[in-house]
Amino acid sequence: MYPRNPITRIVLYSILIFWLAVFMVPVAWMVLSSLKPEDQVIAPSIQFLPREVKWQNYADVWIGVPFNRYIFNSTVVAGTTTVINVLVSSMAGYGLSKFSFFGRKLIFLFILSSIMVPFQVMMIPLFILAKTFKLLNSLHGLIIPTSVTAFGVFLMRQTILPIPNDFSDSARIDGCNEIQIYWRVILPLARVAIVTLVVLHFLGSWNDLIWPLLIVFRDEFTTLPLALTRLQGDWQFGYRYERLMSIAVVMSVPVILLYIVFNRFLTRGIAMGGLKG
Amino acid sequence: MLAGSPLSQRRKLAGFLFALPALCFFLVFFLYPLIVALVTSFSKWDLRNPREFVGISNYVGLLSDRKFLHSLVVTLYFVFVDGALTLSIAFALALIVDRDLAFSGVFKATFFFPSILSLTVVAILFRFLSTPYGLITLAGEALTGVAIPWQSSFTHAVPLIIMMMVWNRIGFYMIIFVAGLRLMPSELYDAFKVDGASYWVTLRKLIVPLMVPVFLLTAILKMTENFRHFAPFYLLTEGGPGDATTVLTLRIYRDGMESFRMGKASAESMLVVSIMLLCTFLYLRLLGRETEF
Repeated sequence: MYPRNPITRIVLYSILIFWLAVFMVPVAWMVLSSLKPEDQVIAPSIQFLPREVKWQNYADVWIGVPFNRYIFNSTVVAGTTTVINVLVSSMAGYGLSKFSFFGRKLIFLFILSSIMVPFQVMMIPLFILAKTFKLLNSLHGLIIPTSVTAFGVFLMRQTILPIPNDFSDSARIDGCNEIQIYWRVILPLARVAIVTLVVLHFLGSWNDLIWPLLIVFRDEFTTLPLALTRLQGDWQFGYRYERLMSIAVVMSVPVILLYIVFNRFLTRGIAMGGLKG
Repeated sequence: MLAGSPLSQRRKLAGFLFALPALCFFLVFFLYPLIVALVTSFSKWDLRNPREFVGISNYVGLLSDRKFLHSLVVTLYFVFVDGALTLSIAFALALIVDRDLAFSGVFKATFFFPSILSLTVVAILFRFLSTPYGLITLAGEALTGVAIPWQSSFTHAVPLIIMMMVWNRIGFYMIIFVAGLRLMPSELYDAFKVDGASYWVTLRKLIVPLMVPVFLLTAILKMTENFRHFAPFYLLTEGGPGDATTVLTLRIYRDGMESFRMGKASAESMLVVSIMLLCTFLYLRLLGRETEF
């Protein structure tokens, strides 16, 4: 309903602009602070613009810490778990929607119910499990337990379910086996949902702190969120907010790029997960 | 196709095999840990010495554990105050963004932006903003003349975290509300328009009643999310000052991962999940009643 009264429009725009400032000022402050000299960051007055633009803060991040290694770890973990999740979830989504076999509903409900159980319940037993299977301090330990999500299975099942059977039937007549049908017919038809899942899972994995915090105690397997956490408490590094802010900016760059490119998929996935879940 | 024919049997098997990897994953990383948590909650265990079965004494101990009860209160305070604030602001903004104003797409995109940032980044940013020389403190001082010691004050630490989480999560819930508003049948809108109903009347008589299922769903979603937040408390205030912001997640982490009291931590986890399931059940009862008519 477009507001026809111009005063209403002015009021609505003022509200929108106020909230725009609320959302953007902290982000702008983060970026600007990452470029400020140290004494300006702890100045007891509001100074928006850096006195001099100190790109050196970004270079300083690499001094003394294996920052490239953190970026590498984060990329590998987020990338691998995303690929695994897309494959396993789409297979499950296909199996649970297009075939009838005993226990199909039960399996789906069982997987969905894991959404309801908060991570803190799983935290202690998963740590014990990781310890037993020698997953502590390793990349595969970061990858395997976080590689499939119930949201992925849910999203893929809901996407594959309404695909008409005619497509797979005609492929079957042409002599395709089930794996070929899955790979050549189902996956291409589900590509929008796959892109959605890729973006959401990559972001979730890239941003995750708690699992790395539980199982990683060594620098070589540290991911970016964990690095930021540990550096905050570091006696040499901590409370140097201009440096912490530059790490925060570096860490957010891929996230922002994904957001700009895939904004539509993100909002679609959230709307779907929120309204139908 | 006849049931039980070899071909149909093979198809059944194929379907099961497609679902098998996911099933195995959730058996190992969901069901098994859940059982371990349940069993551990009835025992005393420090990971090094063998497990010792102690019956329900972990649970009984928690009921008179003042620290645990304090954490429970802080958690409920955070869950519901933050939830109410986030959802009401998100809904109000969704209504405005949905009114076909010019640039509403730009506003929607910027409002959503904070929700994609890592909570680690957000927590460290707000820690910086709430130091004595941080933007929030300085801006607050300029406006009210009082410099609030956000991080070191018992009364302000939880509101600080709520402020951060509201800032962070409004956009996410606004997107869900917008999607809900878009699902509304346009004939009903038109009918109200033909009757000459004002926006407020349309809002009260049409939009809000039709959005009730979405309200309940987002309430469940927000509650489940809020119970599991960890990074904001761990990073922004480290549970302090004192234990003013030690929510249950943090308490479980400390008891389990720092004091190695696995039994106690597991019992706490099981209590949290019971509270959550109870709340969800109540919400769903409400939802069931609303959608029946």
